[in-house]
Amino acid sequence: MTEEIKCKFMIIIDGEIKEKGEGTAKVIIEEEAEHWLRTVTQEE
Amino acid sequence: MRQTPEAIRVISTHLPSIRRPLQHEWRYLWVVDEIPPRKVVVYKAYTIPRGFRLLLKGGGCFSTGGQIQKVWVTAVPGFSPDYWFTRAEAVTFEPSCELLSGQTLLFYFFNNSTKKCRGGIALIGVLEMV
Repeated sequence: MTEEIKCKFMIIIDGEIKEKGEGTAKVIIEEEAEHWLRTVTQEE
Repeated sequence: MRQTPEAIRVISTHLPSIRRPLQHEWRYLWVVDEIPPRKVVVYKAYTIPRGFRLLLKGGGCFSTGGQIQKVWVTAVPGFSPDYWFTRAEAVTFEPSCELLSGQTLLFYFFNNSTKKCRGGIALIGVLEMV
């Protein structure tokens, strides 16, 4: 099972905070990372 | 404050804008407080909204870990595929990296340290209506 971790993000447009909050990132081992990136890129 | 000719106070609002009318200054900041040791954190950061394109101008990354760390931002040539740094690093994209509507920015952060660390990625660009 993939571990998840909280992260924080902020989007600023023209000097104003448009979006700010917490997100969920995945924690994986290095060998799985390339596969994950390729899979997500293909889904897009 | 006493000012010498070399230290002239400049108020940012008086500076002319280099943006065109349909362009917006765009910044993205992403921080993870505790990245586990020897692990990769991946994150779907931002999808370019419909009717816009993003011209990425530059970015930076930082880490509190003592080791050399690695970041990877897909679709961004400056960070891809392997970008190694120690504590903090900044890059400029020249020419700008163009991301089209619907494309998603993906972040990859490898903590090469044997301890937890705090790390993050910041990007700056121009969001342009098309």
